[in-house]
Amino acid sequence: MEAIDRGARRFIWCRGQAAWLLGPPAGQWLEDLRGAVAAGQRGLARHVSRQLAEDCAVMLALTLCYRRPVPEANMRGAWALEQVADHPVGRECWELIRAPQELVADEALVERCAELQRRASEVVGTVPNALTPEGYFPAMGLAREWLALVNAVGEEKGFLPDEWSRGSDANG
Amino acid sequence: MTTAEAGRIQTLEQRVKDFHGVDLAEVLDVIEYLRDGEDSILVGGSLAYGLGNHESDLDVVVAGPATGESSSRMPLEHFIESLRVDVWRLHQDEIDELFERAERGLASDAPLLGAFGHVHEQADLKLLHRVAYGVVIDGPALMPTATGDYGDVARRLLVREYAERMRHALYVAQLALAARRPQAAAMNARFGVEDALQALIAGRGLPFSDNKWLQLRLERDVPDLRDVYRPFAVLPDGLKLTAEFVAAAIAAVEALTGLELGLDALAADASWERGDLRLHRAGALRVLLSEGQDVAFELDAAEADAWESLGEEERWACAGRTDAESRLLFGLYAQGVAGLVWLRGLPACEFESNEEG
Repeated sequence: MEAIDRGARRFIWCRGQAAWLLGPPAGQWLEDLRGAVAAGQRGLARHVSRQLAEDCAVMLALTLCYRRPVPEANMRGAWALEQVADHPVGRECWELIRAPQELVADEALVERCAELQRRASEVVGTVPNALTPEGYFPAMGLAREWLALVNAVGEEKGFLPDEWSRGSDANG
Repeated sequence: MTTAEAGRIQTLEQRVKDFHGVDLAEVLDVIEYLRDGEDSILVGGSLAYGLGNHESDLDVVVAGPATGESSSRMPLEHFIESLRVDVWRLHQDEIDELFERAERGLASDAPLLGAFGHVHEQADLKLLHRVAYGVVIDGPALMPTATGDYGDVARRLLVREYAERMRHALYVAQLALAARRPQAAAMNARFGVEDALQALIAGRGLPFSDNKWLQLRLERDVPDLRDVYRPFAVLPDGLKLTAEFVAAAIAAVEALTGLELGLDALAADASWERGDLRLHRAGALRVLLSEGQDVAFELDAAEADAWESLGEEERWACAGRTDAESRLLFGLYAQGVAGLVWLRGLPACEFESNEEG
């Protein structure tokens, strides 16, 4: 048994937020990237690799530094990068967010982004991809478990996106 | 059905067939259980707008005046071969309420920013555009019962939303630069240029396609704006280059829109929001506490003085703040505990004046 050396509320909120970012959003970005590379859509590939990198930076900031809250969309990438600047994955995130010209829509970029996601999942844990037939129901099951956990520590807002939980009594 | 409508269905059908080997008839079969009476079946999203690739899903809205209980905001997922079909089932009243809300928002001076979804959650914006620009693959076309033309409302809403995002991003870019935070400054300057381009593209009547398709749109549909984006595609590294990058972004967007977007001009319409932040003292310790966010910040004496000089209001105008106050408030905003809000919206007529001229 390992005691968690921070408040239960903060620990569960941060880990839940990170897990949810690793689930559908990161899965969607990788799916988009593979499609972009296959179709030779360079602009799409550059955009989604930068989005994936921002999500990974936020995941790392949440799970390594346990900082809350996450700032609004305009600031969250920079907020995360400032916290993980010295982490090797943090530096890779910044390079992908910068999107230098040499980033082209090729298999090397897919592998680079998949590796980034793998390294993030080593810290955050694994989350089924809700965008696949085999991952859909496991992801929903996991979402329910996280929702129960955040409710157990008295969090009013869980990790589900607002548009998914609007009107839900369970998630405010 | 007009020839143009038949052509759009045929094009969509061919794209779905090419990418996934699936016929639209198979899609209709699979989602038939969600349909009541003469419900309309609309397809929106990238495939319907001539974008997309073999990984793209199909976004379907099942709607009509006889539609039963609506589905949740979360789409109902279906899989046909490699094609994922996301379906939203909505009574037409719900769609018309959304368009009415959009019309009310457009008629108001209040800011719209984020009212129909922010950058990570754009469900309402996407739904408005699926209804307005989607391809009706079966059933009658949906006709508005309470508002003007769906396409016109959706277009104007998107222009305004992105114009307000542009204003917000460029203001944050300048504040971040003043606070010597180059990454935040550069990222927001690029957001600002992208948001301005999205607003201009929407103003020309192209349906909403998310920022991920922006570069393809620029290459293919609006080549006259393509070169505007190029200098901002790659972020600079370091404070000096970032300062030049931010200045160039503001100049480029000002040239496109005719708006004044410098720090002082934007500050006149912006305010800081306190949230639940309260300063507490215990001996020499000065702590700014947000109980709701479960977070506290230890302030030095100068920061505590700056906080106290702000007074007890819930909001503080951005204009007229001292450097110490602005630095503290931006720092709190960058940590997610203070808000940055706008006193008025940015009507499309202001934003589009230069484009139309």
